[in-house]
Amino acid sequence: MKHPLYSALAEIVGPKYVTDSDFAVFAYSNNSSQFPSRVPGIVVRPGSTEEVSRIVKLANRTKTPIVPRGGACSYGGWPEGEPGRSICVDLTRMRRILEFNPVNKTVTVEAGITGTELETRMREKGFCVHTIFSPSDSVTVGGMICGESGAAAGRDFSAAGMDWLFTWGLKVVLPNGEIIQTGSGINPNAKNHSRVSSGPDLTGLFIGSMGIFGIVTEATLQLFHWQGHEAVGSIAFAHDRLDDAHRAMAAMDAHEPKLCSTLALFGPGPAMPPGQDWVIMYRVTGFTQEEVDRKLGAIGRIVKETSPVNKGSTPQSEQMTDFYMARMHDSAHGHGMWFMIESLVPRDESLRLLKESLDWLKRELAGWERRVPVFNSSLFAQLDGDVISYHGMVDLLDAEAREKAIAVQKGALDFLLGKGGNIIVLSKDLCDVGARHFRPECAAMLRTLKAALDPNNIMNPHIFGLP
Amino acid sequence: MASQSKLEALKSMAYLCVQCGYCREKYSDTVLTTLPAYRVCPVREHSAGFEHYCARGKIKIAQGILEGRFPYSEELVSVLYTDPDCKLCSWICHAEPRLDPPKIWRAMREDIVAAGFGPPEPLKQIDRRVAEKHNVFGARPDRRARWAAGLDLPRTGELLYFAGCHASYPKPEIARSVVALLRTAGLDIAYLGEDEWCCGVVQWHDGSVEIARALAEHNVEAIRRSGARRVVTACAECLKSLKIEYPALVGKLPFDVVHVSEVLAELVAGGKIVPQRAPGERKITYHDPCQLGRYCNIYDPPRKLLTGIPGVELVEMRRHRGNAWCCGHGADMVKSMDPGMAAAIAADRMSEARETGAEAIVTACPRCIEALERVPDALKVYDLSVVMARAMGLEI
Repeated sequence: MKHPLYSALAEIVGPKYVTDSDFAVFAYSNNSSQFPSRVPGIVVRPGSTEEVSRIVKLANRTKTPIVPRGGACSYGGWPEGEPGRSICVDLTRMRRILEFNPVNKTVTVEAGITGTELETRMREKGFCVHTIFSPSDSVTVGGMICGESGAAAGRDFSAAGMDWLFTWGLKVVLPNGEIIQTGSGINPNAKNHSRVSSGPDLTGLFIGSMGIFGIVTEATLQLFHWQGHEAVGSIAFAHDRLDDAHRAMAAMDAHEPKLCSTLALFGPGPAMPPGQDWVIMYRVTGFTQEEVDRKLGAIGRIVKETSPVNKGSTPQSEQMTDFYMARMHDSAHGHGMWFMIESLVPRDESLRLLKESLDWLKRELAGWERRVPVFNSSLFAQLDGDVISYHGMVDLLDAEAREKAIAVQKGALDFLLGKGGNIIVLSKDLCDVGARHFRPECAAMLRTLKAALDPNNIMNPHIFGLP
Repeated sequence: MASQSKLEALKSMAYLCVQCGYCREKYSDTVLTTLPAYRVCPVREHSAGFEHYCARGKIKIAQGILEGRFPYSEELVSVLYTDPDCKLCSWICHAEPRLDPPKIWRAMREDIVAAGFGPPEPLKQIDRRVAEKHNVFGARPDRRARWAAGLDLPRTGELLYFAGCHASYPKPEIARSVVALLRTAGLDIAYLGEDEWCCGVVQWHDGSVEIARALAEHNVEAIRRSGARRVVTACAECLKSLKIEYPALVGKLPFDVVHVSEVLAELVAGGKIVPQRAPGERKITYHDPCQLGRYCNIYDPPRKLLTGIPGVELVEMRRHRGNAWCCGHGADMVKSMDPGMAAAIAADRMSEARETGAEAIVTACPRCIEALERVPDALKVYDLSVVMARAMGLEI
């Protein structure tokens, strides 16, 4: 039996771009996570903002929930909408680069382009955007802005911070179907060239929103000149010298101007045998080799001054660095479902919270080390703060382990948020954990905004503890 | 509900996918992936682009079948057959042998055939032709060896040439070039004549494995009778069938199987044949056939041969070697199910070839030649053996 909106949606986007076939909608029932499948009722692939607007208006008239979808690479559960009835709006057909402006150093794109395609296209022109390093290659710009809390990161995220800092403006289809422009483009006479507008920062309302306030269809991002020279390195510390390693890393990151474009501290997770080293790994970039060499020299001096008792670079630390710089996500391929536990914490609490959360994980995973292996514990420096990060894996056919992995992922985040952290990567089930730690006044404000913008509650419902 | 036996056997593989989506788009040039792959799936790029047109969606669908969530509908069968099995998704995923996406939907196709739901009619027609006439064209079996007229080839010998359907019927210049080249190097070459049957490439992919099995058993026995210790073919699909599919079915073969580019590269390296001149066009690009490259890992020998021809400049397409874009005709799957899509995929490849400034494309698979030649205003497309024979000044 056809979905009741099949014909109406086909009229908007053309029959080619609508499907409600059982197998087709099932292929849209999850993201890159071990959480259960949640099947939409129909999938539509619009080709323009105007088509998205008409879809949203139709959904409003019929009070049908919408679940927007970008690359679907989040690792914390797929939004449920209303299983079997929701309209899944797949934005990946909208992947054009609309305007490249090297003078204003901006690029305006459709939200369905992947960050890495955009990065590749910009590099061909001598520029870059902050999207190449993490998360995975198939995440869309819209997904990074709305689903990743703007937390997607370029290779220089340690020095420059995360993507939300470089998002100048958005075109958004509101829950009533109206189309707005944020940033400087709030003025119809102005270009999209700056986050600064003649009023409040509306762009921020949609960053990390999970699409509950509207569907982002276009984004204007800042461009940077590509730094063509780089070097990577590592410094190992004995397993009982975590404090020394943290001190060295903090000193490296505190230097002004920033030395490391990427800087992280890696150690063993609960699944690994004891006695393994802690490893600082870093990437240095520059416009010239001399600039890179100067930065490497400064790193050497800082480490010698702050934490002289170290092992320097070892074969193991170099191997870990290669592994990390090549993106650890990829190493999961063919082994099991990858999951992460990540929380942004202040630098002055990151060492304590790393130790406490590692102890928590070891307790929770005692006896599960083989079935729910968490391989590493790590800190990623980003703009004088740290992201605590654990990486684990689970066999999707092991139902008990899968449940345990979900419980540990949510429990560890709950623990870290209870200690002062925040979630950086959003997805349905992790947002629910985050919402437990909202101040009541903030949760009330969120409810008020949602009710005002989306009175029919059609736009990605049931996120952040909202109805 | 169709039998799930083949898919069940791959159940653990079907749940290994992390749904990262690299099989849709993969741009990174980070360390592990040494080449940027851009948009990965030719079917996704030339269809409506839903998840079920790329590997991660199909793997998710396999999970749905395994969980009994839906049956094989006619529409789903059509989706599962509209795929060139080009294996670029596997190459991007770099999880082989643990996870090899095309293996999953090939298992699904076998289950579909076993249940009587497939293959779809266009492929069924090819199956019938192959079962009855032992060639993909339905041509007269007694004309299979006409390409060898006047060559006086023996039926027995240690080195045997397996021509394949395309070189036996519409592209005899390939077969005659191979024989001429090997004889120039002083090698005695035998062939099977009318006793050579289709390698079964279409049937391996469309799930009609009983037909493929009969072809394989016949060919293996015929080769065994010939006394061959080494079988050489110029067809990427025949190579893949003989080298990969046959042993999986009948166990270790009593002979080696090699591609002609490997043999010729050995002969050139040993000074047994010496290319003399460019075949006409001087600036050439090489198209890696999926079944030669990603399936059989043969990338260097064709390039060594081309760069060894005096006056030839080899220019690479942006996507080459393991990263190469399909010609659209792999195992006749997409061509049979959606000829328009196959043509569009081939046109992509021709555009990439043109971008290099090349005057001609050389490849090592007759089906790729057929696909690329059909592109409007195509560059000249040559088979590698034909180019080598011309470079040697051999009369074909």
